[in-house]
Amino acid sequence: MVEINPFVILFAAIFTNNILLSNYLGMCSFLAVSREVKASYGLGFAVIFVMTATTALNWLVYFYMLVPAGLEHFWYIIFIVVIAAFVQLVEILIEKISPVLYINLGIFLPLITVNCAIMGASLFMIIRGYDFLQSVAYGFGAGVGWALAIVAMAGIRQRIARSNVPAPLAGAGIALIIAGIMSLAFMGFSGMIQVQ
Amino acid sequence: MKMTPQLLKAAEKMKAGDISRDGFFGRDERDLAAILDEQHAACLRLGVSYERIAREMRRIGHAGAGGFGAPVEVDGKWSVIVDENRGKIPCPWPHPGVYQKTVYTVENLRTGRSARYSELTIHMIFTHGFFQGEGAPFYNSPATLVDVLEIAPDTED
Amino acid sequence: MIEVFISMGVIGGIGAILAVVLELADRYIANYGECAVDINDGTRTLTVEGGGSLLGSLVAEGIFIPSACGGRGSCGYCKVKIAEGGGPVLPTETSWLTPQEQKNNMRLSCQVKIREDLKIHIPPELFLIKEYRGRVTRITTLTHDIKEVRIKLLEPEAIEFQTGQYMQLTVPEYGDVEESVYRAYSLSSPSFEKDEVEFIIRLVPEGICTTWVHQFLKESDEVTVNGPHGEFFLRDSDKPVIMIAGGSGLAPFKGMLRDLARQHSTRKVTFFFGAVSQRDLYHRELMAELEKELPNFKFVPALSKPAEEDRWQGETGLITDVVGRLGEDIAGSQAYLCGSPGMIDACIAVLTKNGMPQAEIFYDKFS
Ligand SMILES: Cc1cc2nc3c(=O)[nH]c(=O)nc-3n(C[C@H](O)[C@H](O)[C@H](O)COP(=O)(O)OP(=O)(O)OC[C@H]3O[C@@H](n4cnc5c(N)ncnc54)[C@H](O)[C@@H]3O)c2cc1C
Ligand code: FES
Ligand SMILES: [Zn+2]
Repeated sequence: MVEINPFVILFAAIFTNNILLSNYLGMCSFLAVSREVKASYGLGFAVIFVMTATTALNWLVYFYMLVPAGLEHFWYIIFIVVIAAFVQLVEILIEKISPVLYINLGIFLPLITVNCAIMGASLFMIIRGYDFLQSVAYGFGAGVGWALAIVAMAGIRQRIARSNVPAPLAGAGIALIIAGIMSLAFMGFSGMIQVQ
Repeated sequence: MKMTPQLLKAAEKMKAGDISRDGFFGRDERDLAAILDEQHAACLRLGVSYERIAREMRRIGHAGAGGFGAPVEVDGKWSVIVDENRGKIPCPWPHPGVYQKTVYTVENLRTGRSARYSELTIHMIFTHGFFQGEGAPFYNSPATLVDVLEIAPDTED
Repeated sequence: MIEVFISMGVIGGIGAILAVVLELADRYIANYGECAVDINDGTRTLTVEGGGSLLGSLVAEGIFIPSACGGRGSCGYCKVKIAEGGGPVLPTETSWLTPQEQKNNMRLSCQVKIREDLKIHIPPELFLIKEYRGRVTRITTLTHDIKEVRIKLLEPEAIEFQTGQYMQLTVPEYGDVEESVYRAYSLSSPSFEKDEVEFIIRLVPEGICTTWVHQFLKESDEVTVNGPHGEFFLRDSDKPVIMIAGGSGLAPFKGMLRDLARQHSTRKVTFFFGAVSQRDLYHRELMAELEKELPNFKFVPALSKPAEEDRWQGETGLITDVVGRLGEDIAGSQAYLCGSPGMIDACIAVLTKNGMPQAEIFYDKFS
């Protein structure tokens, strides 16, 4: 396993290797929900939570079930199933424990099951050979990075709504261009820490 | 743009027979997000924000309210009939809010062209930028509204 | 070969474990069991299946909490006081509840999920509200857009109400309308007619209910109504009465005037009815008859834009102007208003300007 302090991984995942802006994962819900700042906060928090928990779970499943049985090649299917089941379970639990939280986060949970960034984070942690703590730090950091990007995007789009965008670019077009510029801006961080 | 959970919920309520008799889509078979994007772009082309269109609809419509159903001339440019009905109808979007079942008919005296819209129409345009699908009751394209209500393009600030 | 079985076993096993966990969660966590709902300190106790909305459970038990949006959290009518249980106030409710109401534990019953035993308080009148099955006995066309519908009650066979209250008419599934909805209509029949109810219904552009009433409803059809609702009725007093209505707002006054006629009342009543032109006027013979029966009753129709061919001799102008001409008589009277909110607001302004206290002005606040 690679020797990197989990804290470094955490910060790298937020800034230098932002899963959204450097890997372009989780684009579809990013574009869809970033219309409003409030909704993007909700989705952002849901992603942080689910990403942290599923990286941990998937790490355990991978190293304690798939590796011993020599079934690593099934990881895609298993990870997806674990994520889907986990999200379901969380939905049931939240509804029971806190109706307030359920109303704020509940509507975003189904959207997360199909968010490729969640899957991506689980795959990256295996590819990069992180240990358990590193994986959890990575999952949490990737979630925070994704949330940061979507909230920033929502803020920008709220301002853009009032300006005169060339008609053919209105909507998805301008959103993609903004995402591109944002990722250029995030590239500025990449000199800070090198992790892969 | 993609359909979000919010838009999916709204689209569900917009079907004919849910909160309104004929629904909000008319003949338009695209999904709600596509309609919103296209209408947003149409407003940009006209150089008028949808908020401003809605504000004019409200201003001119409300100016006719004193007629209690009889036509009222507003600003010497429009003849406005306000048919205010008892009862309120909710917005299809998942947020609190009910709108009086008031129907405004605004006729441009110079061109003879007219637009018919309700209190809910004004809200949906102002808050959601939604003009409804073509062929739906109370549908007016952004261009029609700009033309009938004589809204000049926003000035650059 | 063995490997294939092992991999199938492991993969299947993981899937099975997850499925079992979810199934258990669904069975034990999402199950709220049976809950007791105590109403008004033991006046009634319901045992209901947990997990549903409070509004839905109450309605299923025949307790009609007002609602205009069918439980979507978008009308704010379904408030009840929850003394115990009910959990925290939800974000979907806050915009409907004043800080005062929140302190008093008022909640939107459609948003509250029953997940434990509840103690609630509702106004006792709500117990009087029942659902009635009836048969349409007569549909009369009153104007180009107004119809009068008379319904004989079948089950229960009689209703107790105060003349002027309203009922809710259930619109069955028709056309694209797949879920029945209900709409409020003022009773135009007097309370001494207990076995029949009558409504005056104006066509609303593209309306769900009014389209059904005007185009599909036929005599001898069966319908469902619930009620009575509302606090609009004639208050006991010697003060002269000013009634003001427009459009279908004549309905409650028809009932009230017939009530007065039966009691041989000598109370002074002036009824202003505002319309655009002659074609919007109706029930003029009835009003003429009532003027004969009631010595101190006067019907004043006013047209704001009479058509050329109307050859209108009566009052002309906006209803507010016509009422304003009463001048000094206004201050000592009591006013009853029924019509569009815009008309009601404008009339209240005229009445208070002429010295009538707010407390002497009555109208249905929900409309
Ligand atoms: C206390 C009370 C008493 C009442 N008493 C009477 C009475 O005695 N007589 C009477 O006639 N009525 C009465 N009403 C009104 C009645 O309850 C109904 O609200 C009314 O008849 C309209 O019902 P509807 O189902 O036909 O219209 P709905 O279908 O509920 O609403 C139609 C209206 O909704 C809006 N709308 C619908 N679709 C769209 C769209 N796509 N885009 C924009 N806007 C849209 C428009 O304004 C349209 O006119 C009373 C109401 C209350 C609250
Ligand atoms: S029923 Fe409309 S808000 Fe509860
Ligand atoms: Zn809305």
